[in-house]
Amino acid sequence: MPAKNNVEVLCVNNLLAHAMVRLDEDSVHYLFKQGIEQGIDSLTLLEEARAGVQKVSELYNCGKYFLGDLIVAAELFQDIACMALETTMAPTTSGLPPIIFGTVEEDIHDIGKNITIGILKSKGFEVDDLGVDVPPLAFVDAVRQTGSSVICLSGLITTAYDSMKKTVSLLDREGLRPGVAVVIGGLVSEEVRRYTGADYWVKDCTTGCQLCDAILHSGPVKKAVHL
Amino acid sequence: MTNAELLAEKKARLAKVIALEKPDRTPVILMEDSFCAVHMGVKLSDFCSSLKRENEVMVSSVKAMGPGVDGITAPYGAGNLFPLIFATKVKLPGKELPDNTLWQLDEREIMTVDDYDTIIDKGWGAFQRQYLIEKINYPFDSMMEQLGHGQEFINNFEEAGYLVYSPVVAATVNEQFGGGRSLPKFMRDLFKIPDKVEAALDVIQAETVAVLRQQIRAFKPQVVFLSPARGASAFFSPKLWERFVWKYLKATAEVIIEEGAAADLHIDGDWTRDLEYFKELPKGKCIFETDGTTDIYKIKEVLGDHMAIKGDVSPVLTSLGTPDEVYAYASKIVRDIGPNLILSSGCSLPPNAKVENVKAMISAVTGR
Ligand code: B12
Repeated sequence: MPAKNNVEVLCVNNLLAHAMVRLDEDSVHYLFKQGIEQGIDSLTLLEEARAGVQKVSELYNCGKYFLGDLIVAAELFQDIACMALETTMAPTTSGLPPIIFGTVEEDIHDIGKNITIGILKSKGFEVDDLGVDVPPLAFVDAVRQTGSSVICLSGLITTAYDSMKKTVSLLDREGLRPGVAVVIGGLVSEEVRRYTGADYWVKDCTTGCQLCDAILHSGPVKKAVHL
Repeated sequence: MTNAELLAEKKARLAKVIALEKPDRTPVILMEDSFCAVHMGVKLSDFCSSLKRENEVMVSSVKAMGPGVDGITAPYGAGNLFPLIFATKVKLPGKELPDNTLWQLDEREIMTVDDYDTIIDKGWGAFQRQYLIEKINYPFDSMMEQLGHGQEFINNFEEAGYLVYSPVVAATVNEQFGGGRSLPKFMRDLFKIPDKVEAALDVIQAETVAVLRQQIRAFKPQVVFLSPARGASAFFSPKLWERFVWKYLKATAEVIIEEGAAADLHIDGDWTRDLEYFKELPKGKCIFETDGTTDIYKIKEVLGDHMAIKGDVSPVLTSLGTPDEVYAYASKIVRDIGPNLILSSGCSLPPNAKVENVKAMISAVTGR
């Protein structure tokens, strides 16, 4: 392996974040490999990629970038996270229990879910993605297995509201409800939150990520509030 | 009035709204499929078993709503046809899903980057048939045979005095890749290999438009439904949107209009940024069909004197609301949008919409 050269390290790092912001797939992959060859720690490179996603979300929040850009940024970050995992055994996340995330039973809309998960991961959260059309029992099992305190339910069709409601009831019946904050997102409202018995509802990923952060770090203090 | 006279009256009413003239009253068109099954107590697995069955159930459901309804959007349901539009496998109730579960698109990356080249070299038609049969197990030939009975399905509504709003259904060509490649991969392709994607889309567009012309000549529809399902401005930067959505949406709408029909632009999601573009289409020949995400008042402000507007009673309201709430909202848009409006739900009525809520929506134009 070539000797570490601080000037080059800086260059690769900066370029990687910039390539992420330009959503330039070839450069992102090339720069990551280049960085590893130069002996840069893969977690340092992953941090750079994170900074890139962060910038993309900021550009999205101020209306300069669009949903497609978020989708691609989340995908590229995922690539880098996989490549980083291959080159290191060190944990890449915060050490907190994972956030359980899924599109609820009968619903298959997952674009918003995947974007939100991409951003959560880029912020260092561990996320257990259960996929789409997830039955209530699968959420309950996941909470039991991981000891997670946040479960995120995504749903865009009206039949999803019943699935959300069933999931909340099952958590209740299994005695897990007090320890878990239930966040719903997608095509939801205060009316839907009330109907389903969830704790929080959000309509965008940025608020959703802030909310998960707040719950994980300080506990579900402001239940039944929409941030 | 005979059913034939009733039908003629409804067609004339619709024609007036589209031409931006003043109709005797606001037309009400139901956009529905799975709702009809639930309404008629038919299991979704039974409903989806054939286009004929879907048609029968939908005719009964519309009749049960009463003669005040002007018509229905399509003569059969959407579930069985999704693979033709999105190049994606669809899981159906009674097959891959429990009997009463709504169909699901099982979107994943099945088309490869190499398939762009195959399409460019060999054309779309041959590729599509083989792809659907071999890669996603779609009963292509049986479906084509069933679609061949389209006129009978339309007659079943018309003989009962209801119009089929859009007997011909089309989608913009980008959906074939948005589904077949999966949306994330397609988005990546737009950044990485845009020229190749565009070349392949041009091939699909040329062939699709030729078929669409034949269909319009065969069915002589008053309106053709055109869905740019995932083309919302919210998804794309203006540059990509212009190149990969608007280009094909505009060209297809122009063909529909050239062939003598009106273009129903089925607009799901947030298109606010790009509303001005729609002025490029001929006046009095299009309908902006909003699901409610693009604000109907904003659409009226920008396009009100250019095209009719269809929508937009929300699925949340029809499923979780009360008849009074639905009636109040529907009456409000009938009053505020005025003679340009075709009253309808925002996109499809959800399967769990309450029957009394749908009736309340209809009564906003027929009287309570
Ligand atoms: C794209 C789309 C599809 C794609 C989905 C592809 C996919 N892989 O997801 C396809 C074409 C396959 C599809 C299919 C169908 N669809 Co659709 N679809 C849409 C559309 C146009 C956009 C949805 C979307 O992706 N938006 C962009 C994302 C980024 O937004 P989002 O999901 O809200 O997510 C954001 C936030 O909410 C947040 N977020 C999302 N979830 C969560 C969860 C948590 C916990 C948190 C914190 C945050 C969070 O993050 C995102 C970024 O900010 C909407 C229209 C609309 N108005 O929304 C209809 C829509 C959702 N679809 C609808 C329908 C009816 C269907 C079908 C049933 C159609 C049919 N007749 O068969 C089928 C569904 C079958 C099924 N069983 O699920 C209806 C639902 C109506 C209703 N409420 O019942 C809509 C609203 C259209 C309409 N107005 O009628 N659809």
